[in-house]
Amino acid sequence: MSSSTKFLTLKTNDKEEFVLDEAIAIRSQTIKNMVEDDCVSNVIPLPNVDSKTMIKVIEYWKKHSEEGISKDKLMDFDKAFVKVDQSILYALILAANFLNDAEMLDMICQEVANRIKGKTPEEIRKEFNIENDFTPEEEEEIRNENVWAFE
Amino acid sequence: MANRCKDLPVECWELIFSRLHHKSDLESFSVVSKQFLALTNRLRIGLTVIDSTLLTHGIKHIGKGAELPSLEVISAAGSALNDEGLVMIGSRCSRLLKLNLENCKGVTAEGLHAMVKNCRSLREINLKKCPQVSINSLNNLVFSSSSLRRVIPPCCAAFTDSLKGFYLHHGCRVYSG
Repeated sequence: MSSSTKFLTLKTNDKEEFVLDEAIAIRSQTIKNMVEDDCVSNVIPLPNVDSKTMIKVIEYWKKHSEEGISKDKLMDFDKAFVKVDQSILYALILAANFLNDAEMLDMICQEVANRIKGKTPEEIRKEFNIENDFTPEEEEEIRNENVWAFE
Repeated sequence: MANRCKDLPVECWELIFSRLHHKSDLESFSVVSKQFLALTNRLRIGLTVIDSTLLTHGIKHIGKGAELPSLEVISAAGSALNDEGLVMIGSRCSRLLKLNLENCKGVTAEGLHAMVKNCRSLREINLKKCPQVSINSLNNLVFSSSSLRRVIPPCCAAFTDSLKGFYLHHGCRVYSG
C-alpha cells in the first residue's frame, strides 16, 4: 500500500476549485464527516463559501498544519489574520460555521467581541454596519431598563 | 457575501455575545438594534433588581410578550418588589430556579402563590425578613410546590424541628440564610 498523500478538490459557490491535501482539509469537521462517511466524490461542493473567503481559510489551515511551528509564530499569524474588514470577518464566521472548524470560529468570534468591547451602541452600529431600527422612545426605554438588567 | 449583521446566524452571534462579560458591553450590545436586544434577552440567565418599578416595567417590555427562556436567577434582595412584580415574574420566567426576596417588605403570600403556580422549576427561595409572609403561608407555599428544595423562611425562631422534618418530608430543606 502506498502512503501517498490524498488530495481533495473543494469547489466554492463561485465555481472556483481548490485542490487540497486531505490531512489539511479535514480540519473542517464537515469535510471530515463526508470523508469518513465515504460520500466524497471527486469534488466537494461548498455552497456557503466563496473563493475569496476560501483562500483565507486555506491560508489559516496551512499555517496551523505546519510542522514544528512555534506557538508565538501562530499567535502572530492569528493576530494578523483577523485584522481585516468586518465584512470579511462575517464571511469567515459563516465559512467556519459551515465548515465546522471550531478553533477558527472561536478565534474570529473573539475578534468580533474584542471590537465590540468598550464601544457605545453608536460605535458598534458604525463598525458593523448595523441599522438602528429602534424609535428614539424605544431606545430610551431600553437604556433605562438596562440600569437593572445586567447588574 | 455576508455584509450585514443580519446575515450571520443567531448561533454565531451567541458565540460572540458569550465573550462579552462587562456590564457596559452587554448594555451597548442590547441597544444596537432589535435583533441584538432579542439576543441579549434570550441569553440573560440572571438579573438583579435594584429598582422594582423598573423591574415591572422592564419585564413587561423585554422580549415584547415573549418569555425570558434563559432566566434562572433573580435577586431582588432589599428592593421594593411587590406582588405585582411577582405575578409578572410568574408569567414570564417559567424556567426560574432561584429567587432571592430577602428584605422585600412588599411581598405577600398572594403574590408568592401566583408566582409559584407558574414557576414550576423554582428550587430555591429566600424569604428572610419578609414581614408580610407568615409561617402558615410559607407552609402552604412549600406543600403546594413540588419543585422547592431550599427555603430560607422569614423568621427562623418560629421554626420547630418537627416542622423542619415535615418540610423535609416534602423534599424541602430549611436554611437560616
